[in-house]
Amino acid sequence: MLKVSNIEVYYGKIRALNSVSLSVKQGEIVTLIGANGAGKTTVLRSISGLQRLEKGKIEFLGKDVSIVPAENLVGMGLAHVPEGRRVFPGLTVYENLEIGATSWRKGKACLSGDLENIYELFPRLKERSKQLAWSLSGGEQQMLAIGRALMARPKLLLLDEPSLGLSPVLVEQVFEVLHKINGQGVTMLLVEQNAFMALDIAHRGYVIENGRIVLTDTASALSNDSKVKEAYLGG
Amino acid sequence: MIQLLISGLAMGSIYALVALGIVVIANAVNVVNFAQGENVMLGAYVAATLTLTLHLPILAAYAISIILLALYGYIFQKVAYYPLRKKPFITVVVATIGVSMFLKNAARIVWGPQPIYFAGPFGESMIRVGGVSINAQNILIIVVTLALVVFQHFFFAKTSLGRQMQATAQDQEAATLMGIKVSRMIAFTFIYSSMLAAAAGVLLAPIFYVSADMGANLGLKAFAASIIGGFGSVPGAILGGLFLGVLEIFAAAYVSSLYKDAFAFIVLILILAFMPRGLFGEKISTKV
Repeated sequence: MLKVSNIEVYYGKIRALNSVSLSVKQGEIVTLIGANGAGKTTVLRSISGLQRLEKGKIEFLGKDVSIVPAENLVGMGLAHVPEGRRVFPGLTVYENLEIGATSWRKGKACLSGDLENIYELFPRLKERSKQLAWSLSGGEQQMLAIGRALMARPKLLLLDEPSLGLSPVLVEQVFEVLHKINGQGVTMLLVEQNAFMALDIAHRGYVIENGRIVLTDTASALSNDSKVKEAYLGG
Repeated sequence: MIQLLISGLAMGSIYALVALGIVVIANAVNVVNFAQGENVMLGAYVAATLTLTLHLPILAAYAISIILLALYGYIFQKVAYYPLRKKPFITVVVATIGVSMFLKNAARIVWGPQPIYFAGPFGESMIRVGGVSINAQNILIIVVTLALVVFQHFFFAKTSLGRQMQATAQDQEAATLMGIKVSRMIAFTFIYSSMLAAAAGVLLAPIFYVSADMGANLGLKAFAASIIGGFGSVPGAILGGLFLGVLEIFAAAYVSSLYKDAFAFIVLILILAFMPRGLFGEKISTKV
């Protein structure tokens, strides 16, 4: 479904990604784990078109999308839940969700089916649907960010640190929902610092260090890998 | 007393319209447009030329002026904003100052140094209510401003385009990820702001003379009004504008008309010193 081949990205003169390749197959949850600053977010930003590639190629659903502008990728079925949630603070929960459907919605097409699904996954959002997004708690904002991305009816969902800043209980909840969404047929590429949770939910994983992929395997193999254990799972 | 209040509200409505134009752009692209006053002047001159020189009916002239300013707004952002959008705030602000100087001097060349008198649709007619007579143009200004404010509220709150423009203003990158065409939304914002300027210009023309210099003071006062109201806040811009208009008129009537402008800026300084978020400013509403 997604094939990233040898991409390189520079911030000014600094090389952020060094020949990164990875792939995600239909139906999978693939996780990309690594330390702060390793390049995880840059990989996602490159895939969704927010970051210009210096070299390399990105294919999505068999098409070369390396230079497709970000706003057109959503309509092709690629939604990105950005780091830090980035909900629209001055819009209500409902309006945020409605905006999420921009890429496919024509005129006043009915959203109730999509909304119902999201409210079922995140009942809190239904309770707060008329509240402005800035007034939500961190966990609720994360739910909204995921819900908003789902409104785009994605085939592939890119998730950037959905656990960031959430309490352990909320992290559990969010991951449970991600599992459910995957069950509904949405493929995922999940970037996480919380490697333990990520490897628990994922089928396969990649480990990134200093802008390079250094290891890739099934999630269970990675969980048992001594280096991964030491570096990312707390020994 | 009533007459003063009405003319204060009328002048305040103009400030409010200009301030709104400044605020929608500031919110969308984080740039203070110092050419907004000159945009008002341009709108007034265009309508005056269409009526006085080309003898078009006045309402048609108003409409054409607003449409031409919409086109101008598109060009303005292509020239003065878009190429500089990744540059620091101050670079773009200086570009808008450049545009304002260009417009002022171009107007002086095209329309000459003499102010033009351009009457409104009601001429000099007065409306008598009870014992007081009120300038009909002032009533028109207040009514049209009110209608525009209601329209704007409806447009941003209820229409899909308005929501997309709001989303773009709040977070451009997140808006891109939703599939919103961000550069198009920004262009719309500039177009809308220029149309507001044209509306302010044609409304203001009959109570001000149309001149190349009319914009400078107006832009500055509107900027002050938006700060007094709480910069970035739409209700703040409207209320700040009205407040400033009324304050000026009363200061001119009861204290000294010579120092009318001084009062506006004294209030601005007091507000900046003691209530930096403005009279009606929103409480800072970010939450991590």
